[in-house]
Amino acid sequence: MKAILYIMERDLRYFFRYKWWLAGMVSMNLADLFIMAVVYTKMVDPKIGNYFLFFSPGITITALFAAAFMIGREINREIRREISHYMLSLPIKRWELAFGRVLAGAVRGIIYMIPLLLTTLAVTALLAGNVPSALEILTIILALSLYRLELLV
Amino acid sequence: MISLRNVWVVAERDLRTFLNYKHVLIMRALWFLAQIALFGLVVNKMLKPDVQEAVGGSYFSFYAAGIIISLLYSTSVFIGYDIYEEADHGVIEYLLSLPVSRKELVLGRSIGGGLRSFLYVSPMLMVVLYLIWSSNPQSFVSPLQLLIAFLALFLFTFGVSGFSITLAVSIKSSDKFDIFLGMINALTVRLSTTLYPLVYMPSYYAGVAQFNPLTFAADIFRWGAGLESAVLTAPAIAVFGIISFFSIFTFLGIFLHERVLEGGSWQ
Repeated sequence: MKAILYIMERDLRYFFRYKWWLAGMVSMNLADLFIMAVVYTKMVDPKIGNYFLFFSPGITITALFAAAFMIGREINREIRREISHYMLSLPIKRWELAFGRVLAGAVRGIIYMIPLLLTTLAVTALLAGNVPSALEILTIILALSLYRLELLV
Repeated sequence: MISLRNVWVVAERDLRTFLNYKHVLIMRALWFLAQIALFGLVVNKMLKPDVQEAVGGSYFSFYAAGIIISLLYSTSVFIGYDIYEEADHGVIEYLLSLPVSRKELVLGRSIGGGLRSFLYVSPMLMVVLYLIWSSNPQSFVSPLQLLIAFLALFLFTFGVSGFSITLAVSIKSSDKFDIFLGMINALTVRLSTTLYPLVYMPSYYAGVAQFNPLTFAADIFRWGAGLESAVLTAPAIAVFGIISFFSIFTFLGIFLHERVLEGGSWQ
C-alpha cells in the first residue's frame, strides 16, 4: 500500500508541474461553453430545450475524457525517454506501479474536473434553479471518478 | 540576392517533413470527416428554421465550408512546432551550415509551411465543394470567383504560417507555445464565422469576430463556393483583410525568425 501511495504522490506532484497546460485546457473548455454554446443556444430550436444547459454537463465529461489521456501521454513519454527503466528498477512490484498510476490518474482527473463541475453546477443553479444536494453531488463525483478509472484502464 | 531555387529546396524539405506526421494527418482527416458526418448533420437538424434561411438555405453547407477553414488554419500552424522540434534536436545548427542564406531559409520555411497545409487540405476542400454543389447545383457560380477564393485562401495559409513562426520565435518554452497556440486556436475558431453566422453572436463577440482572419477566410470561401447568401462580409473586405493578415504576419515571421537565427537565441 505504501508503494502505491508513493507512486500516486509522484504522479500528483508531476500533475501540478503542468499548471499552464491545465490552465490552457480549462480555458479551452470554458471557451466552448461561454462562446460556442452561447451562440448555438440562440440558433437551436427552443422545442429541443435550453442548449446551454444541455451543453454544460456535456463539456465537463468531454474535459474529463480529454484529461484521462494526459496520463497516457506521460507514460508514453517516459517510455521514449527510458524513465520507465528507472521506474522498473525501484523496489516496487509491477502491479503496484500500474495500480498506483491508475489511481493517481483518477485523482488527477477529479482535480481537473472540479472547476468545470463547479461551473456546471453554477450554470444549472442560475438558469434552471436546480441546486443539487450534497448527496447528489457526491454521487456525481463518484460516478465520474468510476468513469475516469474506466477510461484510464 | 535571394536564389529562388534555394528557397524552393527549403520549402520542399518542409513539404517532405510534413509527411512524417502521417498519424497526425490521418487523425486530422478523420476529425474533419467526423465533424461533417456527425456534428454537422446532427446540428443541422436541431436548428430553428430562420437559421437555415439566414445561412443561405442549408446550415450543413455553411458548416462544412467553415470547418474546412478551421482545418486549414490548424494545419498551417504546424510549422511552429517544427521550429521547436529542430531547436530541441540541434537541427537548426545543421540548417545554418548549409549553402543557403538565412533569408532564403526563413522565406522557404514560410512558403513551405503555407504550401503544405494548402496541399493537404485541397482534397478535403474538393469534398466540401462536392457536398455544397450536390445539395444545391445552382450554387456553382463562376470559376473566376472560385479562383479568387482559392488565391485568398492560399495567402491565408502563408499568413497563418507566419503567425505561427512569429509565436514560435517569440516564446522560448515549447510547452508555453503549445498551450498558448491551443488557447489562441480555441478562441479564434470560436470567435469567427467558421461555425456560425455573425447575426447569432452576441454583439460583444460579433465585434471581435468581424475582424478575425478566419471570418474573412471562411466568408471568402463560401462566396467562391456560391453560398453567397450566407456571406456577411463583402468579398472585397474579406480579400483586403486576408492580404493585410498575410502581409503583416508573413513579413513579421520572416523578420523575427531571421533575427533569432542571427542572434542564436533559439539555443
